[in-house]
Amino acid sequence: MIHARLLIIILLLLTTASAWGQQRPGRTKRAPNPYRRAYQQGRFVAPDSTSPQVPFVHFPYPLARGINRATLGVTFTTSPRDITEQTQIDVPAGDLVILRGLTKNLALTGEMKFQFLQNNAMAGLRRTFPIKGRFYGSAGAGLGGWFGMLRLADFNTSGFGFMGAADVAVGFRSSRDLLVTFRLQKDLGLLNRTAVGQTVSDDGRIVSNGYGATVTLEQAFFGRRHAAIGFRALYTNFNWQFWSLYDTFDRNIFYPEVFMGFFL
Amino acid sequence: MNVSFFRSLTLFLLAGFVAYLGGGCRTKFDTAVVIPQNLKAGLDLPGAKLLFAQTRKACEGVYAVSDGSDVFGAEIAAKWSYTVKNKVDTTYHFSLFCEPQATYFVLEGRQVADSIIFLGYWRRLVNADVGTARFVVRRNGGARVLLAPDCCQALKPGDVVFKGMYGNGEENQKYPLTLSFNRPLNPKPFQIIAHRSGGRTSDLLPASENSVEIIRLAPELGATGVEFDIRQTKDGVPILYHDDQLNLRLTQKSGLIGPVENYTYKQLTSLVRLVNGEQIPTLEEALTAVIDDTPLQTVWMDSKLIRDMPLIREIHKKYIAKAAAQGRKVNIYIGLPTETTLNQFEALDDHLSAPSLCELDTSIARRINAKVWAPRFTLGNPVESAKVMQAAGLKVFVWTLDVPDFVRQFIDGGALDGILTNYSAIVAYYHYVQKP
Repeated sequence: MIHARLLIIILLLLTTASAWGQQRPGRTKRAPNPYRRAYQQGRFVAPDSTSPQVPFVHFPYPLARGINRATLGVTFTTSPRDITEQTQIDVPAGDLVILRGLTKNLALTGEMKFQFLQNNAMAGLRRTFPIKGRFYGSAGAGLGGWFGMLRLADFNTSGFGFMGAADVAVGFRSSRDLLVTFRLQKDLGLLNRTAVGQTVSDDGRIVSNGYGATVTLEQAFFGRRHAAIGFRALYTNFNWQFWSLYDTFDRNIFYPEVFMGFFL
Repeated sequence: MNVSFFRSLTLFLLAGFVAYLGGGCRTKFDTAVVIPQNLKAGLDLPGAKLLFAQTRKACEGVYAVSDGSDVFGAEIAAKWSYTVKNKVDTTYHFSLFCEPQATYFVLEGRQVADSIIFLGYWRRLVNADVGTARFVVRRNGGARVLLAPDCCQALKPGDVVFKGMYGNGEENQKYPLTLSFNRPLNPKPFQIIAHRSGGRTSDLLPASENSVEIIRLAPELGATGVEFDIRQTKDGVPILYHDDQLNLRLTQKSGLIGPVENYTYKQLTSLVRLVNGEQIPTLEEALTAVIDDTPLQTVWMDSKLIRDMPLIREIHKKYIAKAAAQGRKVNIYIGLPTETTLNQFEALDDHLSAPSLCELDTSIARRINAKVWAPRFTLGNPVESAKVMQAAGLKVFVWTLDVPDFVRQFIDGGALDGILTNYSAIVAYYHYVQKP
């Protein structure tokens, strides 16, 4: 409960920072954006040519072939009380997000979350398309895996697994170059293998793990530092970060995540 | 109306939306799964008779599942248990344990004319699936053998057939489920020890964890023993409570906050109720329930936070004597999970003769003459260490093991004397179906 409230407060602060972060004292009226009419008319704009000052990795917008974008940041996930009960485990994970343009509308996506003792990586493709005006959309899918190893104190455990995900996203680009993305995702579990000592448990069933929704803001904060911030609500039966707790519930559990990434 | 106003309005609306989302996602502890009620009425037929002890005993075994195997697995282990209410009213429960998703049935049986009928409910512990079931053993389906005065010779495969139907939720039983006797249960002594006195509150059981009510429920779920979590109130009364704090995970809203150790026993009993409405029990109430009301054989008294170990030991001795006086074979162990409780225990004059269960190193377990060594399952199946400890006269229990695949392999390893689990039904299934 406290953590949910805390997340809300953090998100509000970030949102506020987002809105006010664009303000510069005594700024002069900016010159008209030559591509504004193109946005408003919903015409497709050449990849990454409208505003090279606005990088993105989450926003569903085309990226020119060979162009790379990446953020490096951190993701905070709070542990669900269904599993950890009175104990709360809040371990941040490093978060690297990569986007590489392959063709006009197709991009390679990659994400790696790392906590050293346990790590997760996913790679996939996404196709972008204009919707109307400043709205853009994308559909994507990816495959990935996780592995973890816990060999200390009373633990001699290890595990790895493979997963898949499909997502659709809608993005809105404000006149001030604030990129807002709303993404829905569906997660699949392809394989999980864990071991305690020499005893191994395999689960090779392809199962629906759950789904999630993400809101992301990407912009130049305070006119200087480009960053992506967001909130993700996962409702899933398996979260790789908590594999070592050996949750046996056959029901989806809510995992709130807050993330922030700085463009490299 | 300037830009700032609209910006503020937008932010205000966004804040309201996020707060709404946050409120909707706040932690809610689901209520217990509702077990179908009034099932016993279906047993109160004209001429219905209770089953004889030998008939009940003969029904126990491993049954092959024909109709319904896609839902309940290929085999089911069937075992009787009992609960005593008000010291005189004994109810016998016929439990069936299946592996898929920790499924169990709890049935009651009656003889009706020359047949035996069973009626009850089933549930999956890992989710909220629940339903009812009804079985009939007809005269030519084995009832003649089971009801014979000289029951029973060793049954052969197929001698007894349970023809049944089951339903989902409160709906009528419309799906067939047929069980055919295959072999006797695995006779090897093995303790199935239920965590938190029977099961976790998070598994949505009809009784709260660490309550007297869940102790009475534990045998139906497959347990042969229970593990308690012991703390002491401000005035020193040993009680059963797991968490460091009074919280909504374990208790209903009471207005009290902080550790249970901050309150007297009277304050807790008058102001606090566990999530399903029960009182927080004293250690003595819990031990009385085990000995008087159930067939449980093992008690693991986990010393969560103890200030007065001599008092715990006095209660320990008192209830060992009570069980012996009643002819009940119950092993009651003082659990030692930490160095602190170990030091308190070793300060007792008679600690070497006090039955204890040590979660620490094997050398410590031997030093204090523990009766049980209990390593954590995350270290792996302790086959070699277990052999050494058993050779020294100790039993070996692992904790807290719930993953079916691990349960099966740990049992198949053959080195353990017991498993502490949140899912007694899973451990019961894999233990009882194991072929000797």
